[in-house]
Amino acid sequence: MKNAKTYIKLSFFILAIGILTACKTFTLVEKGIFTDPVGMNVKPEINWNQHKYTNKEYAWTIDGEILNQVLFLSAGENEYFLPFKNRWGLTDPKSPQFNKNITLLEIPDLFVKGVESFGAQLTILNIDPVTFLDNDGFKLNFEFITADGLEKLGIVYGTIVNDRLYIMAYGGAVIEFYGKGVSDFIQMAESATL
Amino acid sequence: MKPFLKYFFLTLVIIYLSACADSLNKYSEPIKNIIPKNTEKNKDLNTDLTFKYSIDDLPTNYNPESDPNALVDELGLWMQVEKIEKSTITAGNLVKNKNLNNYINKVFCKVSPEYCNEIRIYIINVPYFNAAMYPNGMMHIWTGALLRIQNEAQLASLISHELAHYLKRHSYQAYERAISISGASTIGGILLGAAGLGSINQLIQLGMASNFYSYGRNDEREADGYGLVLMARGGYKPEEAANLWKRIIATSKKLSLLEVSIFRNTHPSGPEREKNLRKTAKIVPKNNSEFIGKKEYLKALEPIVPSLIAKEVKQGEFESSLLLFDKLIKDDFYLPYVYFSRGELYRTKKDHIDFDKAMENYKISEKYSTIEVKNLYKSIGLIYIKMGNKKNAKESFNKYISLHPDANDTNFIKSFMETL
Repeated sequence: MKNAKTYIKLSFFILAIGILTACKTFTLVEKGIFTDPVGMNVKPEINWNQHKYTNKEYAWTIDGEILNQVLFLSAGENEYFLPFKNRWGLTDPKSPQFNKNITLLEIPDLFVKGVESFGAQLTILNIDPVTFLDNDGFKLNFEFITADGLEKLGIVYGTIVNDRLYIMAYGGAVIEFYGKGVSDFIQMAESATL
Repeated sequence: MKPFLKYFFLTLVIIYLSACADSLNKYSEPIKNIIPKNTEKNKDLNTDLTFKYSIDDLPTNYNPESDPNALVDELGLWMQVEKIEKSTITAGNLVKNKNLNNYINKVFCKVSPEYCNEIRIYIINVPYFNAAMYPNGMMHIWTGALLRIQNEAQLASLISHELAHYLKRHSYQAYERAISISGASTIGGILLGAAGLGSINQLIQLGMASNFYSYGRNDEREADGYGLVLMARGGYKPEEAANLWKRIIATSKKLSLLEVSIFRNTHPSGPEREKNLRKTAKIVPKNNSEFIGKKEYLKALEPIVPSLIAKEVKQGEFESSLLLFDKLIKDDFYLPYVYFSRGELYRTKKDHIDFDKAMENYKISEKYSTIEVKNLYKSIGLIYIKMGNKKNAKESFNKYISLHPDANDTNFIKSFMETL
């Protein structure tokens, strides 16, 4: 009987650990301190909350990822960027995938395709050439409505360096939340280095 | 330890069984007892049909929410579905084109004047063939279906089929069956999971919900039968219902996981349904039922065709999209777009990339129109880059810029050309 109690206690302990580890954890990114998500060096001027999805996907937010979110993404040969997961948590093979034959010109379309796969209806406002990570890159401005009807605005910076794709993207709800992080995002993107 | 575990598992089994029993008791009232009695017939609708499915069998004022005989659980289902409807109204991929929505509603009203103001039809921009009728009177039509339908009569047959499911209360009966198997909370969760609509994940969930919701073979036969009656009464040629099935089979050889609504296993197979519909269409009572309406349908669809085809390229399955485009070409359907999009499939679809075939299709599109398809020369330029022909690539990009000087990416393309 005593063993049984121990067994039950152990089961609950394992269950609790399982539940706790399943929760998404955020760490504080302090303003004024250099940090390098996915290898991009940036110095934020305001505090952000960071969640690391994988070594190649980091997300920052101020008010929660639905309301405002910065994505730091990186992809090498045949790697997915902006991967969307199926209901079992596996990367959907339709996610945009990078390879060295893809030109910079094609990246905005692939990004848009990825966002639309989440059910959003996206409109590109403009795509301009910029210097990003000290290389030729692009800046994409867009507006979109999420599957749940939330109106958002977004900006994406992207470039290819040594056959590797780097993307910094920011999106936020039009009402209030986009404005809270956009200027810090732009200053980070425009001063980011590898 | 051992006796304790035995008791533990025994208790679990008892809890499980009692939960099942509770569920069965709760939902075991026969459907026939809850069919609304308030089904007063509209005498104008009575015809001298000798056909197995009579218009008289369909209620003319069916309103689930005000049904005094409805069980609390049925009302619970409507509440859940109403939540889905609220999400549908604000969904990002809801097609809001006024003319198209008006046109589809007009077709619905021809098929069913009695429910013209009752049923809400929502067009959802998803590139798969699907339509669904919810028990609260909400109908979803996915754009993949609109692109595969060839004329107004085929649209009427789809609408009539879904309406028949609603009027014969198949959705609720399927729900009751699902409840007895899985429990109320599960089905509720699945339905609510589908509420977001649109993302691939959510659509898979929607597919799962549809599977839970699956109508039996008899329900489908019944919906096909009453569907024919409704469309024929509306003046549409009933043979087009069979032609729609022929079209579905021809454009969907490789079924996607998402093409579940009317392709479910419980349904009669596609060829069987086509055959049955063709046979039945001959004996369904007619009411000058000769209208096909190809021109009308294409005209209504035209404004959103580019976006539908683009969506098909972006998110459709390669084989299914290719089959669809082949059929559209055969039908002379928006040829510049379709050839261009077939080229896009070969340029962009992983595991199917073939630059020669892509270029071949772009060149045909170019013959039809040099300006209609906006991204034609951009795509041609990209193919030339892949082929290592920078000179031709630059020429193509310059053509794109000169034809569309106000495009939102001209500066980016000019800058890109400098790197070539």
